[in-house]
Amino acid sequence: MGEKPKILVYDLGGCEGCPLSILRVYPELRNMAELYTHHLREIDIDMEYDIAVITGPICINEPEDVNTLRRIRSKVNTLIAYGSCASVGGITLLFCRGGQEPRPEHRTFQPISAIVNVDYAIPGCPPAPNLFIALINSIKSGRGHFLHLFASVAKAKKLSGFDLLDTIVLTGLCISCGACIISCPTNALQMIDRNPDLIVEKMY
Amino acid sequence: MRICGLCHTAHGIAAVEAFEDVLGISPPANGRLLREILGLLNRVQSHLIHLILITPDIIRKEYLEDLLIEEIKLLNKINDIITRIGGSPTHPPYIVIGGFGKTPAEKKTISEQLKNISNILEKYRNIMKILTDENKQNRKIEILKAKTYDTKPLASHLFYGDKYNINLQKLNTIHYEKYRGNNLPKEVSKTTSLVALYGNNAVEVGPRSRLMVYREFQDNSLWGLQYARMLEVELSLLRIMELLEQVDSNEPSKSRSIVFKRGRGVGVYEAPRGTLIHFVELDSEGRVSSYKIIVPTMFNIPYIESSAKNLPAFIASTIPRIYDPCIPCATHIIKV
Repeated sequence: MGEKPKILVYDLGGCEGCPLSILRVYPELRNMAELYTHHLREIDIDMEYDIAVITGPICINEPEDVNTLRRIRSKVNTLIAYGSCASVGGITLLFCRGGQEPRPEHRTFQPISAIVNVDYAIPGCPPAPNLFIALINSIKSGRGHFLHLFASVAKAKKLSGFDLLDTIVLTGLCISCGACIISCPTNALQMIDRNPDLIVEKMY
Repeated sequence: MRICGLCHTAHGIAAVEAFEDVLGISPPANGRLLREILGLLNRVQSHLIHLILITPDIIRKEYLEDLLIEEIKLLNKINDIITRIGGSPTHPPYIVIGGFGKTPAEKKTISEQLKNISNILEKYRNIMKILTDENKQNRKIEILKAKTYDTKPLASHLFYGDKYNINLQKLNTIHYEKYRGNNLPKEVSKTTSLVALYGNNAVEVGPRSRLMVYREFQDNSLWGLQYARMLEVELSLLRIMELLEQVDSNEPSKSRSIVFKRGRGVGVYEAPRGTLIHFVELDSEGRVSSYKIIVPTMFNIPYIESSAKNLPAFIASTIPRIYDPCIPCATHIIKV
């Protein structure tokens, strides 16, 4: 990898909040990498890139998107899933039911790890773009705890308030640090008796 | 709210307005004020993002990079304020049914934000000076200024949105293929686009329509679209300052008694790109049984098409972009 790695940002769909949040750190990012995003210029996915950043979930009913994703994977060394939809499915996995106009056949949105191998995944809706800068720095230098953290998120299949209760609280692993409450994008968690709990009216 | 990463607050407000219509409640004065403030901040944010995307079309290459950086810095300042007031720069969680999630606790935060906004306004006026400087604009702008056409504007409010200012009975949506008839090329006939009509006529929505209906804005060229959008940022910032002074941090901003029941509701809000309408139907247990959304670009599609006719090909990709369409939100994705 050269001094300035080439980064491709490719959006598979969704609300566009993630690719736009990367744009917010462009003033800092342009000093450390070359950014290829369709918000700034026309992009060509067949060019050679060092790092590819995928935003948005993959609709497995759409062969064209699935093929594009596979093609990007086969060309780059490092693939980063950016945002909750791409890394763990997020709101599109839990709540998209399909069956509506204008495309009733579209109903299955999955995190991109369902199709290809993901090296690092940054969850968040959208993630704080500073995390992205930190991860790029860690990848460039080849060390740092962000590498372990985001590599393990890439292996996670689920990551939401419901799973938090299942895998952390009910198994007795919770240390009452409150990090989940700070990071919840919809403020749907609260501390009750030093344990996180879901706020009922936010669940619907 | 997570429908769109640019109009997050706009979709949020339209949705909660629709639900409140079903339940027959309205937010307390403070909640209504904060909602309008956050909505306008979202409008400024969205217009700035669009400005970042459209600047390569307006400005000559030698001035481009510096201006882009300035614009992104300005956008980050607006994002900070949205985080302070709404809880998050994208998809702010404080837009809730019944009012607003959290009132800014102290007078100090409010006066701080007032100062920030007047700073932003000053910086924005400098950027606008560069953008409207004819010596720095590229030659596409001349063509955009020369092309004029008649529009039928539709808008419900200058700053917020009011369902009584438009006739909801007149709205209908049809598939794009049906709108165009049968003579479509094959690649286009697979489209999923819907077109929204108002009384069976195409209408234009967006910043220019708002200024035409509620202010005396007259420019009906293609450049007028962008000019109106730039004026609106200034107008919104002034309005936010006016509203922030009225917020009382001791008063509640959310109504407490919410009982879900059966019924239908509609929420109308002026999103950054134009009139946004949410229809909702709840069943007897308060669950959503149907939901329909009319987004601004569904109104604008016919105008985007007709205004592009008879113009040189190198400008073809600029014309949809200057309308700031929601179809694929990213305006550089379209290859012509």
